[in-house]
Amino acid sequence: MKKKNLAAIVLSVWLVIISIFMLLAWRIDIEIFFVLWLIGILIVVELMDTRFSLPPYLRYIKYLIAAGIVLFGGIVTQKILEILSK
Amino acid sequence: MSTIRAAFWVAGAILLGAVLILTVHLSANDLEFSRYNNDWNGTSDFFAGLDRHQVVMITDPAQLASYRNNTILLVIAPFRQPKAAEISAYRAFAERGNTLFLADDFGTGNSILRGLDSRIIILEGNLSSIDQEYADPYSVAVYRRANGSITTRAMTLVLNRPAALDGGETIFMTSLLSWIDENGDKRINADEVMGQFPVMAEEQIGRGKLIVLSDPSIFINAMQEPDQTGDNRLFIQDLVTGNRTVLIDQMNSRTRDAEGISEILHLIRTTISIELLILALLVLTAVWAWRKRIV
Amino acid sequence: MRNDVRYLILALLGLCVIIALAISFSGPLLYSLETDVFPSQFHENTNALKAQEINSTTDLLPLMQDLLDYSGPIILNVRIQDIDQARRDLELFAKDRRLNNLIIKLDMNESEIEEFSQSSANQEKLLQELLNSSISLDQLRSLEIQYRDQNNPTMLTSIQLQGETLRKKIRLLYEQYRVESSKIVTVSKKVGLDTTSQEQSVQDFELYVNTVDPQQQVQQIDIPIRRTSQMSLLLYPDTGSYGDTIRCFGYYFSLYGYRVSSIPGKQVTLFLDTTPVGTVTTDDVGSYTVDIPVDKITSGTHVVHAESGLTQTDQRTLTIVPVGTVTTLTVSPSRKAGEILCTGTVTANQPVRNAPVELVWDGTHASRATTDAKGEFNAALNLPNGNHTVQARFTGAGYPLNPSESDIQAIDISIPLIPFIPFIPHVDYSFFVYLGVLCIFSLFVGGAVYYLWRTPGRTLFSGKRAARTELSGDAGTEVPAISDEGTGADIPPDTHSPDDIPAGEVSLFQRYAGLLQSAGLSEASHAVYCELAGRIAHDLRISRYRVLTPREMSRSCRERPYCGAFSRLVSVYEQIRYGGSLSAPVRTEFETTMQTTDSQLEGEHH
Repeated sequence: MKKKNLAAIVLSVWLVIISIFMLLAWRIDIEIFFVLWLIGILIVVELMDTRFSLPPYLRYIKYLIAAGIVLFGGIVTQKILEILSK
Repeated sequence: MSTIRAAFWVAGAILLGAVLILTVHLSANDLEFSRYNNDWNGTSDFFAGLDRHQVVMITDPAQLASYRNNTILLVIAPFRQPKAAEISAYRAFAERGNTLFLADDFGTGNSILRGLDSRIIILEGNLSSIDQEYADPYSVAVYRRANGSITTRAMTLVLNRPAALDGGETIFMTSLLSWIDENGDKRINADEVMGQFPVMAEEQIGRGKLIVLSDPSIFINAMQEPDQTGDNRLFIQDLVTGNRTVLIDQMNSRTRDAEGISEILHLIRTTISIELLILALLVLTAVWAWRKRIV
Repeated sequence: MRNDVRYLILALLGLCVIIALAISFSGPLLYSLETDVFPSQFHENTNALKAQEINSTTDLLPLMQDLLDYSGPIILNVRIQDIDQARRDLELFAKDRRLNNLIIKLDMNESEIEEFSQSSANQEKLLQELLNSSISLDQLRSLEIQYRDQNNPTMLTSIQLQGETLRKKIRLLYEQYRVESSKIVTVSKKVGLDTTSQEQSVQDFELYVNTVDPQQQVQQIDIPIRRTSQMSLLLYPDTGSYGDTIRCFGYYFSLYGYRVSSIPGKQVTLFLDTTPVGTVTTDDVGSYTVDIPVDKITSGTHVVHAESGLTQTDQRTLTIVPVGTVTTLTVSPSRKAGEILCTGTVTANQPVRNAPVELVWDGTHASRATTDAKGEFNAALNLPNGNHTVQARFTGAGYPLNPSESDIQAIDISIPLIPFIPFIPHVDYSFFVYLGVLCIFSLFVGGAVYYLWRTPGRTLFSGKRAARTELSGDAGTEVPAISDEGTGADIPPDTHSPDDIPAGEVSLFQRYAGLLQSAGLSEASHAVYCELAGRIAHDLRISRYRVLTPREMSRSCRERPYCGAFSRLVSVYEQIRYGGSLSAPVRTEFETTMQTTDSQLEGEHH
């Protein structure tokens, strides 16, 4: 199986598992979902990445991950401000 | 190729599910008391539980003229000053032997009561009590003091930030250890006096009657849950069932509040012909997309 | 595992999620409850409120009724002299804090219920004092009988005066109890409680007071006077209150016939009741003076006399009048987390010095402080997190002062996560907080930039796109990006592949012809293709062009003028190499396209 297909399947399975656990706990939080998605995609891309070449299916995904990191930073700072304001 | 087709079907199914959920989410809103609001502060559960054969939505005062007796009109959380035509329609409706039920605390209910020349007044200030259901003195437990015609089974009601009434014949009132929290600090202060306060009162108008409840929040979703203590659900059942027509005011009531897209989507969901039309369109689209395969 | 099975499992999982989500159609929930709680002016979100059912009829009123019913039996037991039972009942009364706890829980400190509780607590204290006074009165009666038998007039006087003071105190206690009782009865009747026991207790108390202090009876004090003319004593003034100074002075003299001579140098001790308060020596003229400050002397009537050896003066009566006091309290947070500073004063007609003050917090916990010379007290209290009430109480015990209490002060304690550094002056931390948060956010942005930069040999944003090649569905070959720098080793020189005929002044066609004869059309066409591909790769700066298939190579040169000819060459080349087609028409076509491509390439280079 090609790497990119495997990556898509693994990511989908990961998201489905997160969704099932969220439903079981009846605690659906979009911020938690986003953070777990980011972790999953970081791990998948790190495992898929090649040392000397840049496959086309990885070219633009790295910008997506960078945007995810910035959003994650935004979530973390928001939580810090919430804790301090308490 | 079969793998691609299977993946396509799966993706399509997930997309369809997402679109359905998005539709539901967009058709809801977060407006207070709105019948389209599925959240804790909407009245979607109350409206969903109504019997469509027995309930009529009133959008024009002239619609009230045809009801002779044994009909109840619910005016829940009025928000604007009533028009003269509405007031005269309400009065005529009550005088013909029907029941007008007004549920309001901090809205324009007093304007309606003045228009009907009623002796009942809704007092200002948050009514609080030691007899409370939740860790909040505004969740007042009230007790039946007289046998009114509106309910036979409910003995205790749990209210949510009610006001107090003055005038009329009291049906439900608070315990002795209640007060009006004028400064809103949820504590009893030295200048706030303890006593009993009526929350539901009745008054005769012509051959019919006017009943005022100083808390429309008993109709919201959070107060309709099955594990809610008190006899709230019994009270509402007594209100909307029985051998009579139930009219719900949609002229001057927060329950009709809707924002643009949710009103459109609600219309689609409630009108069968539009739903069938959309389904037909979807089928035609699918047929067109697969036309090459079919041929 | 087969692909079909994998996708089937994925489809089933997706379906399960959709079904589960479909169940929540009626209440789509995208955020958890904590973020869903928003303030509404019409109602509270009961889902977020803790269920805490309180019913006044079952929770509050029984506690109030219990407190109402305590005092009756206690007073009755005092009346019938059953002190032990009265003490036991009083202990139960004092221990009952359930109503106080409920008032604190419901935050009703300013309500009539709190007044009820306060009056009840005052009643408990009054009953405690009544019990102690009753016991003291009994003891005094026994002592009076004893001293009368011993013919001890001094002690007898003192006992009798003390007894009178006690009776007055009991009467005062009754008046205070009646006031508190009336407050309690008012609130109780309002909420519908039974006040019979309470009203009966007031009557019982009155009967007891009339028994111990029948006011029409005049006390006959029978003092056998023992006159001595050898020492005199005078008091000035004979009535005082707190802070006053009573001057006691007199003369020590002896009588010889009609002559009086003063005796100097005699040691004289002054007694207040039975306690010595000062010793002086008579001066040259035989006089002595002692000042008694009215400080820690109980109010009431006291007996003062002086002694020197066997010589005693007459007894003089000193009356101390009680005065009221005012206790103030100010509470402020301290620099230390969880600590508050309590400051205040106790003042009568003047500041009350060195007096004990009780600091009561939350109605149950007590701490002690002492006033200084100016009547001020300072104390620090360590309180846990939450809302608290603090009150300062001065009991006046041992002082000719009435007890008093300060106003109840409420304070909210919140211990911060970040400990307060005491030696840094208090500054507004919000600027540093926002700066810190901004730094943390910048770290994340920097991390994202670094993530894009870190792949070695790669720029942040690639220059040209590698969009000229398309991936075929199952081809599986990845096209490396065209890089602006491109290593020198990757870009091929003009010629040189192992199959090539070494370059010289021989043209491509000649080289082709030679190879055609020696190795055949397939090898010759391959050599020609390699040469032309190398030249095109050089022109287009394609690194590692050898990994490209001929078709990919022809697609990569789309914008070039030689592209059409090269594409036709490639299609014929494929027929020769892969299709095995070696016929003459094919060879002719190959040669034609070869020459066209070669000449167009030459033209491009020039």
